[in-house]
Amino acid sequence: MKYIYSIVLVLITFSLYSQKEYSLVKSEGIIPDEIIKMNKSIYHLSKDTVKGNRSEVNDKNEFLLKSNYQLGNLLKSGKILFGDRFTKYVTKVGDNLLKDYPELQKNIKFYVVKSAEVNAYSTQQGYLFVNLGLLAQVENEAQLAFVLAHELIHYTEKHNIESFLKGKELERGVGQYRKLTNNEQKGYFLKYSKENEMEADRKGFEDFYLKAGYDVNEALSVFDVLLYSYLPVDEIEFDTTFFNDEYFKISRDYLLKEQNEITAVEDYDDSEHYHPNIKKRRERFIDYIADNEVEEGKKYLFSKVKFKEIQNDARYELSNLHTINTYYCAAIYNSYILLQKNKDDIFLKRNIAYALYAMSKYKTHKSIRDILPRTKKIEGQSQQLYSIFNKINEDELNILALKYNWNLYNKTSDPQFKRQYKDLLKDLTYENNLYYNSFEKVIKDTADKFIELTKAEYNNLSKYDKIRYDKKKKSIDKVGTEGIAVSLIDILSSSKEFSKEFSELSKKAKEEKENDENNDNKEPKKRRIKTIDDSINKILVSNPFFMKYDDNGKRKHIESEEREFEYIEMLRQIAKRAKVEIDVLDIYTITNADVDKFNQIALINSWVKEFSNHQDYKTLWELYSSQDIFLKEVLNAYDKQYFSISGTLTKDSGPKIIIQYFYLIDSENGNVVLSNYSELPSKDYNAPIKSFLYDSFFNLKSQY
Amino acid sequence: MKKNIILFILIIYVLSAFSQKPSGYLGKRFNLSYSGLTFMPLVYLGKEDKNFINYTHSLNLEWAIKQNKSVGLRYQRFNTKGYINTQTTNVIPYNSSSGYTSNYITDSYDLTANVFAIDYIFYKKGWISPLGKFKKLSIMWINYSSTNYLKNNEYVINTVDKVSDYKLAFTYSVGKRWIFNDIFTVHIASQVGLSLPYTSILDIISNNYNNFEKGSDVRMFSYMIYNFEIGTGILF
Repeated sequence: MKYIYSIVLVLITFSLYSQKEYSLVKSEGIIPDEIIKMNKSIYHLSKDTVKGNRSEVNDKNEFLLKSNYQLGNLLKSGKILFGDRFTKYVTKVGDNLLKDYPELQKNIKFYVVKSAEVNAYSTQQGYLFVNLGLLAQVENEAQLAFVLAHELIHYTEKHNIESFLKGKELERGVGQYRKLTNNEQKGYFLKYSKENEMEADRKGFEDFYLKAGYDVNEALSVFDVLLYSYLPVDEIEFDTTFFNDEYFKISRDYLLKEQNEITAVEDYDDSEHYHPNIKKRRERFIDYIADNEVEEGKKYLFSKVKFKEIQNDARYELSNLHTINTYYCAAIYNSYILLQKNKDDIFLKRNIAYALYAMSKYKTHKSIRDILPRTKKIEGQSQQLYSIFNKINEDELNILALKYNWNLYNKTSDPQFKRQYKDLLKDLTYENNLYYNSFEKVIKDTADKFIELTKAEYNNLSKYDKIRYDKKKKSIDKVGTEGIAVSLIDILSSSKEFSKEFSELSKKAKEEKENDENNDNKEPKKRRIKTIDDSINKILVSNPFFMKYDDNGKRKHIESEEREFEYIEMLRQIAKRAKVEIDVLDIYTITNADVDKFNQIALINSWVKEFSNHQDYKTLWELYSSQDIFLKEVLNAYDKQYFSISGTLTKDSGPKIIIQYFYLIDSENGNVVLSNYSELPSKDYNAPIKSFLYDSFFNLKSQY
Repeated sequence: MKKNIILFILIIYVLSAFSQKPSGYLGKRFNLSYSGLTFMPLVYLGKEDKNFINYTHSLNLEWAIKQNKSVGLRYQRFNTKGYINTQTTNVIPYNSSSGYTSNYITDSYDLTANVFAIDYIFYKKGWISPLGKFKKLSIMWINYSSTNYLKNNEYVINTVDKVSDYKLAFTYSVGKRWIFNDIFTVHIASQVGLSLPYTSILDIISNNYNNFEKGSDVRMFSYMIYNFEIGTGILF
């Protein structure tokens, strides 16, 4: 018996220790051909099959050009997943719907998209995409199956191409559409689109969903998922003391007494929508149910546990996606919901720590309005969070973020928390003018002398001691700006490392400020791009980008793709000439077996997306990215420290222009160490592009 | 003059040794080029209407000193002929059939100019020297001489006279340079300028240049006032 207990104990201990931080999803296995093939070749293949009269052929070719390139760009963006747990699960559910249609099954391929939007869509080429946002919101397998069934009908009934052709027919004003005004044309088109949606609901339900044996009611409840898709994945009350500790408390003034009610209306005006409103869909759907002999179906044809796992993982992914998109309150609330099940989850805390860090940086250096919607626009329980972060002061948010990051660093020694708290500490002294001295004084005056008493001890105090005690306690409990003075007591009293750092930084900041004042330097300090000491001889070039536009600002798909190939070749030649060793990591340069490289491209693209959300490329400012850890991982694989984001955009007609950019990023800290940007009023040709690239490489070697 | 040029090159070398080097075009910072220039002479050219537009030649060396700035040296040579129609009475001998009478003389002269220029070239924002659109400020030293041949008829013995003079000119140009095969360049430019000593505009309007000295002077003035340039060169 003793042995059994020991084994159980060891197993429990092992399982506790082996509980790893959630790791973000990656693609696995062989890369499908459509991802690495040129869009041009896929377009030409499909173009050859087009038949009909001349105008039909032209319209169909235009559709194929646009749809193939849009599809190709999505597949190559790194946003889609293959061979991973989500895609495998969706494929399993989808294939089951198609089990009676083997021919159709061959033509359909399911992909999951790393997007927080609650959506799914299909393409004329037989690809069906499901967003992670949808997987996080659907309540069971049956609901997912209904969405897939709906999208399958869009494919089988060729709704995409038919809609495009209908649009063209209306534009030309042929036959019954003669003499229509623009508004009438639009009205006809939207009506047509709504009919397609209704058809997809009905046929999807009858042809796939019912036949598979799913519960009818769950198909109906999908409309609720759609109606409330703008809300978080759950509605739980936010604990307003979540960020509080003994010495730092969120002011009650920042809290809402009650949140906005959820007002989603089913019967909204859908005259400008492509989809009918939910009420119409739901009512029509009830008719379909009545028209069919409905047997009792199931919510799950496969494992419920597996679905819950997938749903839970999708929700974890959502926290990360919200962060990349700079929806920090949404990220915190989503992580908060997930923390209810696992209070010590480091992935979720990491997510909250970064969101606080970024919001504090925005509030201190830019405007919180750039990243935070107004409180009144939010509905439901999460509104409390929006209220807090809209109202909280700059220095309070700075301290809150600093404390959260410091505490996590103290527990985990994780470098991400370390650099975030250091950056916040710098803001506290340099930007918010809160120095060590003022905190130190409070520690001496208040904290050292204040000892919290038990109820019995308190009762034993004299009347006057009680009054004194209450006053002191109140000063510590104080909220708002005045409360800041005591907010760091716990850290300053417990960590010499922190105190020393804070003290030195304060001294330095004060000195610099005094110098500035003495020099009458009224000019606001410009934040410069951080530079490095040594010349850079080797870099990773990720996803070089080339895009050509026509007069109307529309992409010239074929020319752009061809030119991108030439651009990559130019990059290699010029780097060689400038004696800079480069590795080009691009979707066009990898083979089917290079799944690791595909994932690396996806990680870098996520980093770049987040970077683009923060920076306007002309005036860079310093802010660590939440994806920096992944960036470093990729660069280490190539034995490189620096990577570049480079691209060219051109327009050859109308006002001609060549826009070029080249940014060099240090993966150690996510800093931009070189920034080169140019706008030329010129036609696209090689010389100015080569000249710009050489200049960029040249700067790497000579600037430092 | 030679001393000045050597001094100028030395200054450039010293300055560039201590300043940040620009990237140039793929590391090539020099452009040696030949260009042809045309301008309208603004003076009466007699019967030789084919000379209505003048041509001249230029050898240019441009050197990138900053990302969008260059300096340049130019040597231009200008060789042309001028004509003056004057009415005179005092050099024509007695004619038995008509007595002393006035006569028209076609007066021609050969004009040769050697021009040395120092250029400071600014490339427009975004362009990297020596490629793209530029503006150029120049100081030019014009050393010219004209030789006069007096021709009237068989009764007159040809006389020869020669004058030498100089001018200093300040010019402003706008232009564009293209690069082909990473080595060959083609450029065009338009130049306006003013030469000193100043030639009175009244002299030009009133055709008050009835001797070859005045004629040469106006020709040199018009040479600077506007010209168009097209050229080709190599990078190194």
